[in-house]
Amino acid sequence: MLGALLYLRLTSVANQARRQALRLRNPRYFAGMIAVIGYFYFFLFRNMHRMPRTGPHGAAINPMLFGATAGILVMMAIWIIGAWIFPDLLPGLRFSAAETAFLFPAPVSRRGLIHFSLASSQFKILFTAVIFGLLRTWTEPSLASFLRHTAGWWVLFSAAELHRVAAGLTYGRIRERGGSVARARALAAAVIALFLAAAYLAVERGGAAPDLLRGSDLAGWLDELFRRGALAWLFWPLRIAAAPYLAADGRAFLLALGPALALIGLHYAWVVGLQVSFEEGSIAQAEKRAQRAAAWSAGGSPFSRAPGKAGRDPFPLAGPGRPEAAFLWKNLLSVGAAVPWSRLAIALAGFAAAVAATSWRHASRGPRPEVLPIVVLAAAAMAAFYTFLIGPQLARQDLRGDLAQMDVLKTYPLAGWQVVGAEMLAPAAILSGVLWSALLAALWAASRLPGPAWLGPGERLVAAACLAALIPLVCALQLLVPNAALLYFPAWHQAGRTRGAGLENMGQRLIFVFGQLLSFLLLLLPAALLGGLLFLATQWLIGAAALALAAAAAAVILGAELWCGVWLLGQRFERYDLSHESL
Amino acid sequence: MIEVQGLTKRYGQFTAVRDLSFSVQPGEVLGLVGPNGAGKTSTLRCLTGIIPSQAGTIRIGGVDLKADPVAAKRKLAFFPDEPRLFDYLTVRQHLAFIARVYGVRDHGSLAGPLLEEFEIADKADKLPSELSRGMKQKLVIACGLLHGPAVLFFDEPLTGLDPLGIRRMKDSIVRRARDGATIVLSSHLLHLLQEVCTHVLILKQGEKLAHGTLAEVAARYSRGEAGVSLEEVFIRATGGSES
Repeated sequence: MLGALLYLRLTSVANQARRQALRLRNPRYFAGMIAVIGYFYFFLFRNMHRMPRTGPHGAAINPMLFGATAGILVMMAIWIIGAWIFPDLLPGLRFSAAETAFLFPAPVSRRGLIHFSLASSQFKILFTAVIFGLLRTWTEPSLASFLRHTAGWWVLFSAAELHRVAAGLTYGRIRERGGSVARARALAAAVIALFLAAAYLAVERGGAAPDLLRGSDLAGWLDELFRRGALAWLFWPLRIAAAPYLAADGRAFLLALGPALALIGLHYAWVVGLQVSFEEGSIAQAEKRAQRAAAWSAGGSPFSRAPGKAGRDPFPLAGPGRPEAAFLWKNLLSVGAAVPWSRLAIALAGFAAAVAATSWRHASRGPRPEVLPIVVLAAAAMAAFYTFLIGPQLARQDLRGDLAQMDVLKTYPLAGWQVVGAEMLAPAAILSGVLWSALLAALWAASRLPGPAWLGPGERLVAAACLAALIPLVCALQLLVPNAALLYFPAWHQAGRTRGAGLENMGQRLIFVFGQLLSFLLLLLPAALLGGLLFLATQWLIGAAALALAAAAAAVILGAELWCGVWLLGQRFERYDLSHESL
Repeated sequence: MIEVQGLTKRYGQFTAVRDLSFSVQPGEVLGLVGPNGAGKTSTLRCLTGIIPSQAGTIRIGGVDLKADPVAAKRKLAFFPDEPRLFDYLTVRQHLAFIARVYGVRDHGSLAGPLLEEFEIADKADKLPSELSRGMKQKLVIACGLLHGPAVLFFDEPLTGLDPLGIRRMKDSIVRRARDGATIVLSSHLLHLLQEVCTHVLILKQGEKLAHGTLAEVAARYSRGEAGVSLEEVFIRATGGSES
């Protein structure tokens, strides 16, 4: 069985590499490959050539790397928690659609299939561990450190993957034996809540966090934090799994590796010992993944889900009227059906409860500055930052989402600019909504916090109103860029979405992201310059009203740019011929 | 009515359709046939305004497609071989969306009979993922017919339909032609064309080989034999190969 897996993977990799090499004859793929080589060299390999076999042990991790590591660990934790709280209806192991078609009817035992799936996941885990191990060479440029941290990541990822699979199969076992999955889920949620509360208390009582900028010992702090009292027992498996990664030197690593491997072995025995029927769930999951890949390939969001049930009309749509409203209606409907509202509500409620509990504990310990406005302000700033940074990539309910229907759209009795503009309405409304909410939250938080004397309540209101007026225009301009990329470089857009796309496609995406940021900044520049100059020239004369004047001037510039952009894209849409462009 | 004069479509150096001219009158059903790569789909896509042509004029219901594409598109409906539907819209919501795009007044009273005709009235609140391929195809046709188009283009209309669906589809096409619609139908199913079409246009390598009524085209390739089938005519006309 494992021989077949090796053959499948190695042959696929060889064929893909051959295809990529052939594609490099095309200049755009070649440019993409150069970009990705530069990227990998800069971020991963630049320390390799001067890397000694051994180096300083336990060097302080830099703040950026710490942030990334912490982020990955938090995501892993969320992933595992999700497996317990939101299990799939049918337990399943990870197989591709082709694997389910060929292997399930083949004379292979259930245990053989489990081995195939687990071994298959090891390819991804190993690759990811190597990348993360290379990242660590930023601060510890030694071969020993690279090997140690790669192995550490491998242990963490493998244990997490096995745990996730075991969680799903455990629910399957409960269901097969006629137990209540809902009750089991509630119990799991209660246990997880207990763990999180314990972790919070541990951090709160653990004293000052290490000052990463000054190079203090993160591993030591964490080790100290989770070594005491009941926490040591509660987080014992986690400590064992993380110990190889956190080991300060080779000896400590080897000592930590044994228990970690034993933990993986226990998880393996858990998975194999459950003997649950997983075939049906695996097929359903494979189909879901294939649908998601097809939706992504057709222009949808990588996070979009296949609609399970029909969504409600966002607003009543009568027959006569502006046709643009129909596109807004349609695309808003797709958002309503695609967003996992119940999970989002649970996550938001959890976050709100955590903030409230933190705030309450903070307040109960004496007169201190209010923590809630600070948290809200930080959350609003983060939301605004990420909306600007990746919002247009996530809100794809425009031409990108209707790529598969492009032929149909072109038969509609509408001018090109109408289709392009109408398609952009929904994502612009969504991004504006998020930014307006963040603005409102920030306004509330600012009113509760001490601020500079020159920024009184009146000035804040004027500034917020000006920003609120500019937000839709800025969002629409942002969306103009990816839609222009789709219409002017459709082959690049399509190539990046094909399954098995190569490294050069990653390079093309890097070029795209850079191009998008640059184009957006260039579009903002004239409005910012004019608005800024007007404000400087008039604020001494008319006070806060100068802000409104500057915003109005900026809005005129942004509006004109937007109109020109939509009109140009409309012209392009009318001439657009995917069958020709993709050649 | 459809009038095509000197239509030429090129993809880079490759000419998919070369200097094609023909016309289809109201009440006529034109069958567009040819081997794979003959230029049928390119012709249909040019006629419906999906892709631009390099040369030639196309008039849909008397309106020049290049000069006034919006007015021309109001008069036509295109039914692609693959039903392309919006994943998140139910059957009813598809019709509401199309009604707004085409400015159809009181679409509720029009949509009901269409859904009944295509036997998907009981699926009005279903998403495309809950429909069979045949039902999706029927929904696409219901959407296309909602605005009462005078000119209809079908690309392989019977794909995915069950025998009863095929029978109903053929009846529907014939009835709409009888009611005065101008219809172009591209298909490899020559027996369908023989049953439904009044005229036939045979393409090969982007060029017109034959055009006329079924009897005229059959007479041209019959070599004096009686009762020659369209399949035989097709094979003789195209030489039995794609190239």
